[in-house]
Amino acid sequence: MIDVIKEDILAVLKEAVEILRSDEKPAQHLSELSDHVIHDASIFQDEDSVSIAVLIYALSKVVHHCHEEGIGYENLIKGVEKAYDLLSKKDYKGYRKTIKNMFSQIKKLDAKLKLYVKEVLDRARIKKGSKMHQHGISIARTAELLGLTQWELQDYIGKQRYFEIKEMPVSKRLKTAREAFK
Amino acid sequence: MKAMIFDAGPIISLTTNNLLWLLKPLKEKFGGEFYITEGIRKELVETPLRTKKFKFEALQVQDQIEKGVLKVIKDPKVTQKAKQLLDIANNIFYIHKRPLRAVQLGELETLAAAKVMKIPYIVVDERITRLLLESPGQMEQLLEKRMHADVHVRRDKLAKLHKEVEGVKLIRSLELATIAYEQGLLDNYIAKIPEARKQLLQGVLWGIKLNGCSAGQTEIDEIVRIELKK
Repeated sequence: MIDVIKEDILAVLKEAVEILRSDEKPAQHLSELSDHVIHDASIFQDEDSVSIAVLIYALSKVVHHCHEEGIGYENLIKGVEKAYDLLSKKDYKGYRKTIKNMFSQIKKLDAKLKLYVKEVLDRARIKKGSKMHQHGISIARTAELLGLTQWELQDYIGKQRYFEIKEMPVSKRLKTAREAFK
Repeated sequence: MKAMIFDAGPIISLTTNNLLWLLKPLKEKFGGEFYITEGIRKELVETPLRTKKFKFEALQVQDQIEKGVLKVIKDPKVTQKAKQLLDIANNIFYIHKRPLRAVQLGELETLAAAKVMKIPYIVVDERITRLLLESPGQMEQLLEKRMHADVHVRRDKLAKLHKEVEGVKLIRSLELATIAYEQGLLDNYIAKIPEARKQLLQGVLWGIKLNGCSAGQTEIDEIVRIELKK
């Protein structure tokens, strides 16, 4: 893992713990925080940046449901703290194992939360994927990086409004299409 | 060669709008072949068949392949050319001294097939591909704005990519649907309501846009204005 990615992930994990330990709208703040590593995920396209963006977003959803159902999530906080410790010690193997375990923990919450956690994780990947597309990565490449299908990603991205780019005039492209069908 | 090659995006947009049937009459009007590459077939059929959500859509695409409406290109020359194009395309924009890998092999297979088989038209809904080929300056601006970083452009690589796909014309599923409208292929949907033709065209174009064809509201409004003026 290169230093810039490590530092950015450490900053995100540190802030995630602070948010999770506070009582103030953790879900909303975590959701915003998950975007902080999207620059890295788009530029470096490394698994660490991508997985942390997805994990933090998924945590925001899970924590929201835990609050609603009155279920504690201390284990998840401890997981984030452990990941921070291991990464700060440059124990990359341990760090990646902890992140993987956290995804497993989230999946195990399924029964308790009466929530289709797979949907939450899929949604997290789609949301973060749309952000990467926003950063100039094609839908196909983003889908490949996040383990999604183009169908899933395109279905979501079509409903977003985030490009204000002047392209070839519509009349010109339509003329091309008409010429093709002459 | 009278032919058109499709990226995955337009097929997805048409399928999710229940408009995939349009391909057959459009192909007849076109009077040539409609192609997809093997990589795109996998993305459109094989991958979603492993999921729950888009399994049915995958079967619809497979049906179009089995009926010969969409022909699949399996040519090692295309794959080889696609790898070359991928290497060029993913080494054009540099951020923090790193090349931005903005596109993937499947997309480039479509471009490669157009080049190798001399197919003049590519149907592509992906804005990133269009920007790369038609408006790289806009792509540079987009990257600088979104990444909050300076973007270095390798002009030599960009020129090489443009040279490779010189003469290829890009259209979107949006234009295909407009042609279908112009040709009367959608007339069954003209309802007994005020401004029925306008409602139909808007409905189809918005449906396609919302299912993934990257287009803006002003572009849709412009198409509607052009079509209703005719």
